[in-house]
Amino acid sequence: VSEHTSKRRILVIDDSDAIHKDFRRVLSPERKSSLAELAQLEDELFGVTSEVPPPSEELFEVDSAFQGREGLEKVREALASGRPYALVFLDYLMPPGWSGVETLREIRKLTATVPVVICSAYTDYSWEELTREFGEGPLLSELRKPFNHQELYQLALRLTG
Amino acid sequence: MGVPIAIVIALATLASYLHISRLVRDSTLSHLAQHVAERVQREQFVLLLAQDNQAVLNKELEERIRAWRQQDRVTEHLPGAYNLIFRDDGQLLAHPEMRVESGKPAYNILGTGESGSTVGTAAQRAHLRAIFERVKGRSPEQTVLELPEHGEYLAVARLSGPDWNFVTVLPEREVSSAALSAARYVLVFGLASLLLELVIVFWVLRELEQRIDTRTRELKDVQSKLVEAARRAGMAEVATNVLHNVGNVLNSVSTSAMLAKERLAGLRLEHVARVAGLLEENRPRLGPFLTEDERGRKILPFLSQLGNHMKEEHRELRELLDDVRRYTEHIGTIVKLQQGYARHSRVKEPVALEGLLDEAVRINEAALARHKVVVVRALEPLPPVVTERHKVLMILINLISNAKYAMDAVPENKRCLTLKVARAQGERIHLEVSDTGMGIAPELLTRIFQYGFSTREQGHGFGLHSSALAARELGGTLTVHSAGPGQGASFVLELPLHSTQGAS
Repeated sequence: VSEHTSKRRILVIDDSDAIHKDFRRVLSPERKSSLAELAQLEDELFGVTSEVPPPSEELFEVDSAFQGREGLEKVREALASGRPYALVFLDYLMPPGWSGVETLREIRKLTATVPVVICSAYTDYSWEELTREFGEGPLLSELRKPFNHQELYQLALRLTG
Repeated sequence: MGVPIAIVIALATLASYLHISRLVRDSTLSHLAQHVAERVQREQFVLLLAQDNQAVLNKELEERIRAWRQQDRVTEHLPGAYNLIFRDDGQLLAHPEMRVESGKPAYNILGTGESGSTVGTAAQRAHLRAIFERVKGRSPEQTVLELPEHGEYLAVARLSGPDWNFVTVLPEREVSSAALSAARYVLVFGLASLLLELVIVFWVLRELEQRIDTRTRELKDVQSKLVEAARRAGMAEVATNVLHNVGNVLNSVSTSAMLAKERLAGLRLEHVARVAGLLEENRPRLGPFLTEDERGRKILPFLSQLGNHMKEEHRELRELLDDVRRYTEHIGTIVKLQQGYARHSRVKEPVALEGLLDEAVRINEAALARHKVVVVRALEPLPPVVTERHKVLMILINLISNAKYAMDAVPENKRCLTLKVARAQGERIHLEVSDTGMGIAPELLTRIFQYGFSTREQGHGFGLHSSALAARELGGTLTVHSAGPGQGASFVLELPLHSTQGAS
């Protein structure tokens, strides 16, 4: 449980399966124990020459929601359980349900402090309108698809730090 | 509108004519009566003067008779009329045509005089007899009589004293011709109005026809513009979807490729060379090195661990590259579909419906899988259909996508999409997309095809509209059947097997 609480919880709300896979691959990659053993053996054989950093503990815990309503429910549950999300990635277009803006509106009714990143491939929205409604600042930012995985990792690190 | 007015004008003209002719007839007859009365009064005065003197009377009478016989003043006022005088006993005293030669005894209408002369023709005599009978048979106060069998009016006055009857005969045709001449302006005016009215009606009808023509042309223009707008809107929607989908898929391609690159770097291939170098160094006493040396003993476990690691990494690399291939193909499909839309030259080609259905399902595959929709196919083997491929594909994609949305509200284990292909009557094929979804209320069955109508919050209302239009362009039809809310729905696309005709 202590391990869980130390992780930064991230919620991804997107209607595409593949996108969830991308987020997981970048933010919480599988760390295999075999890799640690191999690194240990390398050290013993060749001295401490390995360029690969020792496997760090996973920093992020990624949750998935495929529609706006589902996402809102997860935010509500996380708040109720006392382990709120540190960051929400929100797709802009999620037919047939709520759009990103509608979902954001509902999330803001629950919590005003969780940072939200609007993440979309199609710019059918005006950023000006979004900031006019939800305010400027670190609580609302934008990530265009396709994103660079390092950019994503750094963004998550920064916004949850 | 024109015909009732024409009838009204005709009736009004006829009524005016009848009214005027009655007025004219009445006035002519009263004029006749007055004329007779005046004449008799004048003659009466002369007779009164001569009353006391038999000789004067006789002389006067003779003169009167002569004068009357010459008819110099009898017909002075009434054209077509003539006067005659006869005695109660039947003796004819004056008639314009039936004259007795001087010195002969007078003609008796009743033909009783033993020494009576004969005048005129038999027809004239019979006519005269009829007049006589009619006058004798009248009641005393009657002054104007009708003689219908001869078509005449008779005005009668009696000269007191000698028991003479003064009769003016007026043929009826004179009355009606007077009426006709009086009423002819009415008739002419009426006919002119009628003609004018007909001309106006004709003109209005022609104008109306032209306006209908113009309106029809305008409506056709608007319709084609609307179709074009719907098509553009449909294309805009497709473009939005394409951008959205391509963007998403590209994201996965890029992530997979980057991770693959990282994995490749993490394969530690350089260690193989380092181990080889270590073995080379100890080549003379390789056995003892591997079994006794502190470092050498670790080489075999390391190689085995490295092998495992590489196998693992290789598997993941393959998985990542597989994803890259899959996503790239997906993008290819999206782009191909987009090209299909962009190329709206109407190219007809033989299309295998089975493949087309597969493609339509594949494009919706991710969503269908996510929504746990079971897809059932009931495909009758059919020869390729000659039609416009991309249009049919667009319709099918649309119908499948709609079906998926329609089943959002039903439990996951009850989401079933059925695709049916069969041959229909008359060289047509029947493509059916049925769902077990929310169904359609009867009042919405026609509205769902309307431009801009959507039951979905996010819907544009172009999908079914442009699909129905496309079906028509292909010479086919798109229809819907639903037993009502909660009963599912099925859309049927019927297409000609050989699409030769195409509605404009």
